[in-house]
Amino acid sequence: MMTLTINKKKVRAKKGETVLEVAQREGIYVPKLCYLKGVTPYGGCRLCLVKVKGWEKPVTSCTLLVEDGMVVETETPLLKRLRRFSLQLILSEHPHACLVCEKRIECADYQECIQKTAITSGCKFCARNGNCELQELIDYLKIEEIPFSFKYRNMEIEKCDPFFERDYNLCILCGRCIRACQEIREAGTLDFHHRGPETMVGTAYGLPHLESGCQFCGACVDVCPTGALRERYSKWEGVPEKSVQSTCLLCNIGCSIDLKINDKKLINTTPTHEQICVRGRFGIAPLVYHPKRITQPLLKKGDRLVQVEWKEALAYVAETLKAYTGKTGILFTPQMPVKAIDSIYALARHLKSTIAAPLALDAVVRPFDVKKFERGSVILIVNTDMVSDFAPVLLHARKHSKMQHRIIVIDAVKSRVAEMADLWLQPRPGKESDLVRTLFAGGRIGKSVGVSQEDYTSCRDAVKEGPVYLLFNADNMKGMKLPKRVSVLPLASSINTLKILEMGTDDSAERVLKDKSVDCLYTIGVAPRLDRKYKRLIVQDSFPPSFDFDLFLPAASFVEIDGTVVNINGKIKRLHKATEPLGNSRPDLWIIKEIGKALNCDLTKRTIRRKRRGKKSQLRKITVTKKYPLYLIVRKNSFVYRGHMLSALMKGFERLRYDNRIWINSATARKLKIADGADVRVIGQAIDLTLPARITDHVPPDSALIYAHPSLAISGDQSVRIECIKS
Amino acid sequence: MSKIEKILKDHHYKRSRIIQILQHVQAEYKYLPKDILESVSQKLKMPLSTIYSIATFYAAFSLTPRGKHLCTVCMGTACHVRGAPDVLARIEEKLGVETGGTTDDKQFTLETVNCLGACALAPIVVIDGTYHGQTTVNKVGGLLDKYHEKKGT
Amino acid sequence: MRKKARKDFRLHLLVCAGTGCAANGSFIIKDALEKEIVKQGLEDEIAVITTDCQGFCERGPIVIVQPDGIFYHRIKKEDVPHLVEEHLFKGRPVKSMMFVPSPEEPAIPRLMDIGFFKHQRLIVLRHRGRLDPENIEEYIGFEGYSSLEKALTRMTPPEIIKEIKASGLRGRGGAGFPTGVKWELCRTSPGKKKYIVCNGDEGDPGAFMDRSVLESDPHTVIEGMLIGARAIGAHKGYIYVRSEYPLAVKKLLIALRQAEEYGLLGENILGTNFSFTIDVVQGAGAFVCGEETALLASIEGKVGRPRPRPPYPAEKGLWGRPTNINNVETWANVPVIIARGALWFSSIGTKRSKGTKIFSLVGKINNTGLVEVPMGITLGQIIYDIGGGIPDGKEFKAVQTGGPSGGCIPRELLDLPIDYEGLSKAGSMMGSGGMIVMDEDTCMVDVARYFLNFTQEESCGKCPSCRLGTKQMVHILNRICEGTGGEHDIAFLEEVGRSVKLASLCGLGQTASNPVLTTIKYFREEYLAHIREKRCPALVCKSLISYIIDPQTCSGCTVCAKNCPSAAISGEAKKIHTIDQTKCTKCGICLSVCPPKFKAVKKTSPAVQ
Repeated sequence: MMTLTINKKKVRAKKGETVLEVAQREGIYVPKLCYLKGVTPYGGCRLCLVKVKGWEKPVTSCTLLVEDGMVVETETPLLKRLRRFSLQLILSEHPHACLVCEKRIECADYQECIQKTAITSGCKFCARNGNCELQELIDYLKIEEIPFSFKYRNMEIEKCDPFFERDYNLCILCGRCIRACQEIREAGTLDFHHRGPETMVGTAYGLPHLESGCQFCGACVDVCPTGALRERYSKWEGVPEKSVQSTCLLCNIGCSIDLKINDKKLINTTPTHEQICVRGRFGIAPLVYHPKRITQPLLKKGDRLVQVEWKEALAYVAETLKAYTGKTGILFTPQMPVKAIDSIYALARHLKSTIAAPLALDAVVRPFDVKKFERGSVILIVNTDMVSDFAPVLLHARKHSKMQHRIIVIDAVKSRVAEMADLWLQPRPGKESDLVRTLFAGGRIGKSVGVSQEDYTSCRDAVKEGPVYLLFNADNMKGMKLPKRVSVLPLASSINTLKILEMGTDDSAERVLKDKSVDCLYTIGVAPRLDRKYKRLIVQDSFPPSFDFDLFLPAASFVEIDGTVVNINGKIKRLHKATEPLGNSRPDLWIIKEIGKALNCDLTKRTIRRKRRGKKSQLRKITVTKKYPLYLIVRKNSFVYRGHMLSALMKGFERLRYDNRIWINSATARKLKIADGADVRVIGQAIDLTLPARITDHVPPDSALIYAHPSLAISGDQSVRIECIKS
Repeated sequence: MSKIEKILKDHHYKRSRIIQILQHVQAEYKYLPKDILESVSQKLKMPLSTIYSIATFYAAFSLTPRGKHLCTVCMGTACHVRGAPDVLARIEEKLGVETGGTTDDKQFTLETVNCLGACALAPIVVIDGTYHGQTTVNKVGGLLDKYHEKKGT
Repeated sequence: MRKKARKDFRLHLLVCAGTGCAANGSFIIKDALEKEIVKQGLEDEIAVITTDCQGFCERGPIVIVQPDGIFYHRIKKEDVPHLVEEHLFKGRPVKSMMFVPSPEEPAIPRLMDIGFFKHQRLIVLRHRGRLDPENIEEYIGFEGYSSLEKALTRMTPPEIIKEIKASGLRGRGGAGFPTGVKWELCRTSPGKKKYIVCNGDEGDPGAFMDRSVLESDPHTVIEGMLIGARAIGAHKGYIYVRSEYPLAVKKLLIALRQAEEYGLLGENILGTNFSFTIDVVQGAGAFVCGEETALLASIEGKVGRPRPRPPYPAEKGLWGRPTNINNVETWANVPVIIARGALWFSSIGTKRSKGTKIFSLVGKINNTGLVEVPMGITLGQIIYDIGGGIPDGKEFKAVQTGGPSGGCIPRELLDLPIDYEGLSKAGSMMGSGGMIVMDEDTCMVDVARYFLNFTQEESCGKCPSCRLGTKQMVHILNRICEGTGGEHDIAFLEEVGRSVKLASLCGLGQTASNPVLTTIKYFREEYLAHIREKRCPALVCKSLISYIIDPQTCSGCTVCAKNCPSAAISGEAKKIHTIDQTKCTKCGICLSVCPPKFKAVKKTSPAVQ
C-alpha cells in the first residue's frame, strides 16, 4: 500500500494501480474518452491529463502508475485549457452543431431544429442522443464553441452487415472498439488503418464485417462512446431507463445478461460482467418482438383459426388431454424454467403420456466450470466450432491457458476454431469418434481415419496425461469410455440438459414421434416435422409451427418471466421478469399449472423417472454407395430458440451462419453443377429434403453438411445423393 | 516451396518480423497483393486487420500495383527550399498523375519521399533507384523521356 | 594486405564513393581514371581507391591525390585524360579542377586548406575518407576494436559507465539526455534480459550524418554498441535503419558478418564471458519511428504508435524488458571516449555540451555537406567560414535546425554558440543536426507550412492535438499563403501551437509547432506582409506572385511561349510577348528558359491595399 495526494486529499493505493483508477475509486472525477477498464491504456484522448508535482509536463492519468508520495492535481487552469483544446479538436471532426448549440436543451421538445444542421449530423438524429459521452464532456468542460474549421468526413455509413451499423463520420478514434475486439475478444476484426489525419478505424481493406471474420459479439458496439457504432435493432429506442439482470437461454452456457428496458419495452440485451455472443447480444429483443410471434390463444373452429380467451383455450386442452389419457405424447423444450419442466413431468405422469425433450440423452457429461480451465491442461474440441458457436468459452480457455494449454481440434469440417488451433486433426467424416476413442484407449490409428500418424502421435502425446477438457457436439460421441481426468461437455445441447438428464425420460423425441399409440401430440416449444397425422395437435409456443394445429397456446418469452434454469456446469441461474408478457401470452409454467388445475392434478409433486433404456444405442455405420454417393455430416445446431432456428426467424443470423442451407464441397458442387444459393434435393434412405445450397471449401470433398433441426427430422450422419432442382 | 512460404521461412514464421516480411513481399511483387497478405495472415495466425494496419501505416508499402518505373521525388527540406515543389508539380503535369498515382499506360508510378539524405544534390528525383541530382523544372521532360524511350525498345 | 600494398605506390587517388558522389557519377570517373592510368603505363605507380563519404557532397565527384592531399572536385569524364597527364604523369597539379572559394580568390590545392575542412574537428568522422568500410581489417588497422578490448579486459561495467558519465556525452539525436545516466538507469533496472538499440531512423529531412556514419564507418557504431552492451549487461542489440538507406543496410550487414567472423560478435567475445549479437531491422517509412517507444514497437513488428512514458524503455522496453536506445552518432562517440578518456573528450565543447556535433549543412549555401564541429562554435562560423556563405550573392535570412521539431534562427542570432541549451533557448533544438540555410528567396511562412504539412502527414494519429491540431495550423497557414488570412490568425496560430506542445503525447507532437512559433517570433513582418499587403516578399507563395514580361527587354525570341505548358504566353516572333494571368499556372518555366541576355521574364508580388 502506498499513499498519494490527489487534489490535496490523501488517498491510499496499491502498487500497479493507475492514478485514474485511484481517483475514480475516491470519487474524484477525471474526464476521459479512450480509457476502457480491463484493456491496455491507450493515452490517446488526452482528456485525463493531470499535473504531478515535480514533473514538467502534464501526463495522462490512465497510463500513470501510482508512486508513493506522489502529489497530483486534476483541475488546474492549464489542465482545463488543454482538455478543452483536445475536445474541441476532436469535435472539429465530429458533427457538433447541436452539441454546442445554446438551445440544445429546449430543442428536445421539438421535432425539427431551426439551426441549419445537416439532417444526418444533428444530435437528434443520432442513436446515442442523451447517452453520448461527448455530450457529457461538453457540459463538464463547458464548451460553447469550436474555434476550428470543421470537416465532415463524408464517409458512407456502413449498413451492409447484420445487427449493427457503423457511421465513421462520428468516430473519434479513441480505439476502444479496437482494444475490445483485439484484447477482450481476441478477434482482431478491427484495427486502426492509415495514419496522421487519415487515421481511421475499420476492418482490413474496409471489407464488410461478415467477410472479416467478425463474430458479431457486439463488444465494439458496447464500448463506443459515440454513435459511430450502433445496434440496428435498438437504434431509435432511446436511452434505457432500467436494467434487469437475467440469464440468456439461447445456449447451454447461460450467460448473465442485462435486459435494458425503456418505456416498458425490452430494447436490447448486454453482457452483465463477462462476454456474451451474438445470440445473447443481438438475438433476444428481436425474438421477443418478432412479427411472427403469436400472442393470442388460437383455436381451430372448422377450417379457421379463431382467437379465443384463455378460459376457452384451457377448457379445450383439459378436455382433450383427459380424453386422450394414455394416448398423448408430450414434447417440450428445455428452454424454460426448471419449475415448468417439473410441472410438465408431473402432468405427463398424470396423463400417462410419453414425454421427451429433443436432447442427446445418452451423451457423456462430466461437467466443469467453463470459466475455470485448469492450468496446464489440454482442450480437445471435437466437431464444434467454438469460434462461431461458443466464443465466450473459448476466450476463457485461451485466457486461462495462454502458453500452458494446447487447443487441439478434431473435425472433418474446416471450422474457424480449426484454423486457429494449435493442432488440427482432420479425419474423414464420421471417423471423429474412432479417433477420440483410440486416442484414450491407445493403439495405432487406422488408415481409414485419414489422419497422419505424425499428427495423431503429437495429439496423443498432448492428451496422455493431465486434465483434458473435451468439448464436443452431442450427437456424435455416444457411449464413449474415457479416463477420469477427462472432463466432458456437450456444448451444443440446450440449457437444462443436466436437469433433464437427472429427471430421466421415457424416450427420445424421435421415438415419441414414431410411437403409433400416440393420438394426441402436445408440443411445448418444439416444432418438429410431422410424418403422420394426429387426432389432436396442441401447440404451446411463441412462433407458429410448420404444421396445422388444433390449438395454439401463446407462451411468454424468457425475458417476460421469473424462474431458474440449470446450465451445463450445473449452476443454477436466475431468470428475472423484465417486461409483461406480450399481448395475451402467458408463462409456460402458468399455462401448465392452469391445465393441471383444470385436470385436478397436483403438479407440485416432484417426479423422477427411471431411465427406461434398452440396449446402448449403437453407432450406425455409414457406407457411401453408388446410389447415395455423398457423406452427409449432420451437426446439432446450437442457434435455436424453442425449436425454431434463429436463422429462420432473423435474416441476420441467416447471413452470418448459412445454417439453413446444405453446405456442399465446392469440387463436389462443380461436379454436380450446383450453384451457390440454388435449391437442391437431398435424398437418403430416410430423408428427402429440399433446401438451398452453400458452396464452400470448409466441408471435405464428396461430402455435405446440414445443421440438424427438429423441423428437418434428421439426426445422425448418413449417405445421400444430391440433385439439383432445375428452376 | 511457394515464394511466400520461402519468405516466411526466412523469417522463421515470426510475427515480430512482419514488417520485414512485408518488405520482402513488396520486393518480390513490387506491391502488397491482397491474396498474398491473406495467406500471410493465415500462415502466421495474425489478423488480416493488423497486417492491413501496418501496410497502411508505413509509407514504404503500396497496396496497389505500381508502374514499370518508379519515380520518387525527394521532398526533404533542402530539396524544398531549392524548388522541389515546382519539380514535383512539373512531373505530375508531365505524367498526368497525382503523387501516389500510376499512369494509365502503367509506365510510371509517382511517389514522394521525405528525405533521402543526399541533400547536397537537392532537388533530387530518383527513377528506378538512380539518383538524379540538381533537377530543375526544365530538366524534368528530358529525364522522363529517357525512360519512356526505354519502353519502346 | 591492402595497407601494405598502399605503401608500394607512388601516389594514391582517393575517389569518393559516398551516396552523393556516386550519384554524381564517381564510379564513371574511377573507371576512366583506371583506364587512363593503364594507357599512360602508370598502373604500377598509382593506385585508384574508392573511399567513403568525404562530406563535401555537393562538389562530387571528388578525387584526392595522396600523399599531398590535393583536392579535385566536380570532375567530368572528359577531364580525366588531362588530369592524369598533367598531375600524375608530369607532376603538375591542375588548377582548373581545384576548389575556388569565390571568383576573386585563387584556387586552393590542398584539402586541409579549404575552409570547409579546415574548421572541422573530426571525432566521429575521424576515419573520413581513410578507410574502406567493407574491410574490417582497415578499421582494425586504425586501432579499431581496441576500445572494446580495453572495456572488456581492463574496465568493469560500472567503470565504463563512470567514464561515459564523466565525458559529458549527451544523446545526439534529440533532446540531449546524458548518455551515461541513461546507461546506468538501464543497468540498474531489474531484469536479466536486456536490450540495446541503435536508432538509425534518421527522419529529420535535411539530416544525413547517421547515414554517412553507417555507410562509411559501420564498425565504429558496432564497437560503440558492444561497449554499451558490456556496460549495461545486454545480450542482444538491434540497429534500426530507415528504409530510405538501403546502402547503409548493405554496408552494415557486411560489417556485422565480418565482426562475427573475427569473433567480435557472438559468444565469448575476445575470450571473455561476454556474449552479444546484433540484428539489423529496416524501417518502412515512418518519421515517428524515430521516437523511441514507436521505434521499439516497430522492432516488435507493430505499428509505430508511441506510448506514454513512464515506464521508460530503461525499465520496460523491447518485449517489456529494460532497453537502452541511443542514436548512431552517440554510439559512434563511445569508442573514442573509451580510447582517449573522458578528460580529453570533455575538454572539447562548452560547459554543458561536450565533444563535437555533426551537422548537415544544406540549402542555400555554397559548401553543402557534412561538417563535424566542436560544440560552442557559432552559427556564423559554420555558415560563413565552413559553408562559404550564401550562393549567388544573396542575402542570408535564417537557418533551420532540428528538423520538423526545430525552429528557424534569424541572422540576429548568428553569433549564437551552438549547444543544446543555446539552440533550445532560441526556440529551436539540436535534433539530429540538420542545418538548412535559407536566403532571401525563402519564404518563412511557406517554410513553416512545409514543416507543419510534414508533421501532419507523419503524425501517428493518436492524439487529437497532433493529428488535428497540426491540421488546423496547416489550414491557417494555407490561408495566409493564399493571401486570405487575417491578422488574428497569427495570435490564433500561437495559441494553438502552444497547446499542441503541451497536450501531445510524444516528441513529435510536443515539438511540432516549433517551426511556426519561431518563424512568427523572428519573422512576424513576413506573416504580416502576406496578411496585410497580400504580398510574398520572397516571391514563393504561388497565389501571391505573378510572372510578367518586361516589355523593355523582351526581344520576342518566342522561347517562353514555346515552353509554356498552359499556353498562357502570346506574342509573335520579334514582338513583345505577354502572359495571360488568367491562364498562367505559375510553374516558372518561362522564367527559367528566358535567355539570360534578355532577362525579360520577372516574378513579382506587388502589395495589394
